[in-house]
Order: sequence, then structure tokens, then C-alpha cells
Amino acid sequence: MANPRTKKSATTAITDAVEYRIPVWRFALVLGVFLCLLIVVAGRMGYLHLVQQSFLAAQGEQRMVRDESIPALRGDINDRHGEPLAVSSPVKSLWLNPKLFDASNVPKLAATLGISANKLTRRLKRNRHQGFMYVQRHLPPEIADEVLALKLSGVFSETEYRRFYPASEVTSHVVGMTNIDSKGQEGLELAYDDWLQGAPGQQRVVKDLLGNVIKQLNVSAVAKPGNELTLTLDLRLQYLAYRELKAVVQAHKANWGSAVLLDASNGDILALVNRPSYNPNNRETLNAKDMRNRALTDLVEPGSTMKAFTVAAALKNGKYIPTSVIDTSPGYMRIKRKTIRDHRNYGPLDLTGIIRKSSNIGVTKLAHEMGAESLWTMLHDVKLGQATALGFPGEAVGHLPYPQKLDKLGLATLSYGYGLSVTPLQLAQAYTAFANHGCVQEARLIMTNAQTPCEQIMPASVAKNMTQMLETVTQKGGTGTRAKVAGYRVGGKTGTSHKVGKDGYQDSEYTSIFAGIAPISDPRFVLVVVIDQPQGQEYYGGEVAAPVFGRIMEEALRTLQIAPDQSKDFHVAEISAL
Amino acid sequence: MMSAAKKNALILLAWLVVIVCATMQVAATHWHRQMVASWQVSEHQRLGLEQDYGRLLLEQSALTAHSRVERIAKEKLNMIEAIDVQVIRSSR
Repeated sequence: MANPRTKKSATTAITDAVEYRIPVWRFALVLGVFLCLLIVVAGRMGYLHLVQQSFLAAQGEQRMVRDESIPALRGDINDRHGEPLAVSSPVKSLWLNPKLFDASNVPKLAATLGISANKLTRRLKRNRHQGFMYVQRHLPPEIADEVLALKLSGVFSETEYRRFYPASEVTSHVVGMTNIDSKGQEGLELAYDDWLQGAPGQQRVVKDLLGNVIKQLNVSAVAKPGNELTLTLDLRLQYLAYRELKAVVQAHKANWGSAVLLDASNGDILALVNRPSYNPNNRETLNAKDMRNRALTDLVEPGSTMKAFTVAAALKNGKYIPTSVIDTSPGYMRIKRKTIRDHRNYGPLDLTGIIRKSSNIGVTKLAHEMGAESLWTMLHDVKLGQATALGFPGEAVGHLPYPQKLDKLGLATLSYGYGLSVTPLQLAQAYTAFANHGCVQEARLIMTNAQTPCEQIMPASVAKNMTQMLETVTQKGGTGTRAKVAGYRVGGKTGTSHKVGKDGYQDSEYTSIFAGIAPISDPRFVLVVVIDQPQGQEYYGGEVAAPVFGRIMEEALRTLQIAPDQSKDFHVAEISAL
Repeated sequence: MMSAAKKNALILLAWLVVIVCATMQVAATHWHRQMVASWQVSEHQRLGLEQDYGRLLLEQSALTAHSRVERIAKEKLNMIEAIDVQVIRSSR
């Protein structure tokens, strides 16, 4: 049986609870108290942070528990023989706390540093509400120590690393440069920034009043020095190429010039130089125009240097042999509304003669005979119009028109190197096909990057024929006789292309090019020289670029002690082994 | 129940242990500070050596710069590039 009394009292309690409502003022009170507390806390925080900050900071500094970053050493960049191209060296940066610094010390500080006292006063005034201001960065440590020895209050130093470039303007385009905070800005310094920079460490230390560490509390990160970068460049060849290029750009008052020297057998870039250049050690006189690595970023129409590929494509097709004769008379040809000309009427020429004389009519006839597809395939196979494997910042890809888009005129111009654009490096890379028994080799700039195996794009016999044809260019009657090197068999192809201006091709602005290989008997080097807008009487590839080619090649062959393969220039003494 | 003498002896022992520990603590701290000081000195030396190394490396590359070597060879030592080249070939 249920208990009626119990039941009743329970019902009453429930009713009471429902009826008893908490008055609103109690909520308001609790909320008000909490809000007050919040305001008090916030106010106190603000007071400590804004009003008492300097006092507290000073107190903290006396106790000197400091989180310090440990700067990491940036990795060096070396050439293939370990010669330094970019080196980091410790320097000291002076900074001061304007709130702690006594303005009457300005003359003393300025005199020690050799800077203008007025300027320093002005900067001090501008930063008077800050707690940090650099006095001068990247000082030689002795000078910084001299200043610190004055024991001026509020003046401190920190160790940083500064980047030095011993080879200066000779390698500046390839190596690039860093900014004042050691971040890569240009060239490989930018491309391999993560690899080079390492990771700064972090430690917590207790310091005494003199700034000496008396206790190391913990090290949350150990400084990891950056990695070294070894390039395929050979500084000796780089210097020689730069010297010759500089001379020719100056002599011909050219707009710019580039030279790229590749190792024919593996595609290593042994030298890559440009004029104008810049000195990365002196940031004050930098000029964006001089900082372009033109061998990689600037596109040129390769002109007649492409004729070698047109002829190679014809040979590869199997319809022609080097002695096949093409009639180039009367020395001009009308296609659509354009006339293609040779320098003069060469009459019947064999393929070797077409290369030697650089006949536009000859290659046009060859191209029309074999069709756009074959020529395009050849040019595409030697990696024109494609990005190289370097991954260099700002590198140009170039342009190669599709065969379907080529009409008769387009095909004709393509056959002698117009209507496509390449970088000097791409041109050099393409010529490795001839030098390396028909196997095109991708260019490589970083020693530790694995080299991709070369691609066989034409039979070795075709490549051999081509090198022999290219050799005739530097022989008597060729267009590039001035590229000759005493004692060595050298082959190459001249190129002179009109520059594109506002109204199409300019009559009096040229790009002068020479691309070649040496020594012919066993090719070791591929060298491309591009001179943009040479002024004056001489502008042909054979007149401007070929002589530089010859000089750089001669020095390169001699420096790397490659045996001469043409003995008629030398007295040869045979010695027999005992 | 423990006797009073035994209790006192234990307190004395504990006291001794505390003293020895405290002394060791002081010694350890002192030793640590000395180590840190010598580490600081070494660190300083390292920086100095790094500086010297960097400077010497730069000096070396400045002195052996190809342009400088070439200039001295030509101007001071009156050297010339080989003209009459002879090739000696071994028949081996």
C-alpha cells in the first residue's frame, strides 16, 4: 500500500521548486563581480605592459634568463674542385635599446664606428619609443668589440653570418646572392635556399650583469649548419670565359653577351658567364638589369645555328648522305610574299657545303622535302622549347612552334632558325647531341644531382657526319674560320639573327651566335657564345662570336690538358717507350 | 619501542646525510658553473677560429684569383703564353 503522506509532501516540494524562481539581481550581481574581476585583471595587465614595461624589462634583464637563438652557419658553395664561390663568415651586428641609451654618448659611438653623429641622432629620435634599433649591421668583429669595450649602456651586439663571394662578378649570375638576413635572393642561393641555410638553434640561458652566460637551462633546438653545395663549374674556365666575353662585349659595345661551356660527355656546365655582370659583395651599386642570368633567362632566335639540326634531320631520314647535292641557284626563293636569300648564288651545293656556306635556300629545300614533322621532331628531341632540368629561378622555357601550325613559309624560316626561341644554355644542350655520338645530354649544374642518362636521338653515324660537316665551317671557305684553334680540330656553326623590334625584324639590330664543339676527333666541349646587338661594322656570328669562341675554346682545351688532335700545326716529337 | 639513544643516533645520521648532500649540491653547482665558463671560452674560441678561417679563405681566394695571377705573371714576371708548341707523343 502506498503512503499517502509521503506522496503528498513530495508533490509539495516539486511545486515549491517550480514556483521558487531565482531573482534576476542575483545573476546580475554574479555577472557584475566577474566582470569587475576581468576588468581589474585586464587593467593590471595593461598597466604592467604599457606603463611599467621598461621598469619590469630592466628588472628582468638584471635577472637575465634569456631565450637566445644560435645562428646557423650557411653552407658554402664550391666549384667542382672545391674552390669557394660563396662563404659565410661571422660578423657582429650592433644594436641598442633607445630607452636605455644615453643620448650624450652618441658622438662617442659615432666616432668609434666612423658614422655621422647627426644621422645617428636622427635615427635615435625616430626610434625613441622602440626597444630595439640596429646601430650598424655586419661589422668586422674587431670594430664591434671596440665599441663594446666602451661599455655604453643599452648597446649590445649579436653574432650573424655574412656572405662573401670570392669570385665576385665572374660567378655572380650562377651563384646569386643573399640579402642581409642571409636569405637567398638570386640564383642558386635562392633555388637551394632551404638546402644551404640550415636551422638556427634555440637555447635558454641565465646571464649575469656583464652578459656572460652562467648557466644553460635547456637547449630546445641545436643549431644545424646548412649543407654545402658543389657546382659543376670549373672556376678556371669560368674566369677565362668571363675574361674573353667581357673583352668582346666591350669591344663591340654589345648590349649583352653570354657564353656556356658544357662537358660534352656528361652535360656538366663547366662555365656559364654573362656580361653585364655585377659584384654581389657590394650591394650599393646593384642594378636589376645586370643581375639577369641571361644565358638562362633571355631568349634569342638561334638563326643559322639551327641549320645543323635541319641537315641532321635530313640525314636521319635516310634520304640524304653528306655528299647529296642540292641546287641552291639562283640564290633566292619566293615563298608567299617573302623572299628568302643567300648571300650570293652558291649554285649546286652538297649538304656539307650548305653547312659550310650557311645556305638558307639549301636548308629550306631540305625542310620542304622532309616536311614539318621530321624537323620538329629533331628540334623537340634536342630539348628545344622545353624547360631544362636545372630548376634555376627565372629560367626561360623558350618556344618551338607545333608542326601542325607551320605553313610553307613557317617551315622554311624554322629550318634556318627563325620563329623559335631558345636560351643560350638550351642551344648548348642541343649541340651535345652532335658531340656525344647522337646522344643528347641534359645540362647539369649541381655536382651531387644524379645525371640522367643521355637520350639517343640520332644514329652515331649521323652525329659523326655532322661533326665533320661542322668542322668545315671553321676551315677555309667556311663562315666561321675565325673560330679556329691552332692544334685542334674545331667545328661549329655561325648564326646571325635579326632582332625583333616594334615593327617586326629590325634591319640593323642583330644577335651574333656561334655554337660549336671541340676537339672533333673525340669531342670534349660544347661551347655557345651569344653576343646581343654588337655595334659597328662587324655583326655576323662569324665576325663577332666566332673569335671569342676560338679564344675560350683554346684556353679551355689547354687548361684541361687535352691532347691536340691536329698535328700539322705543331712539331711532333715521337718518343718510344723503353 | 626504540630506545632514546638509538633514536638520537638516527637523527644524527640523517643530519649528516643532509649536510653531505647539501655540500655535494654546492660542489655540483660550482662545478657546473665552471664547466659553463669553460664552454663559453671554447665557444668564443670557436667563433674566433671561424672568423679567422673565413678571413683566411677569402684572403687566399683573393690572392689566388685568376685575374691577379695572370696580371702578375704577365706584368711582373714577363711571362708569355706558349707560342712554339711542341707535342711529345709516347708511342706506347
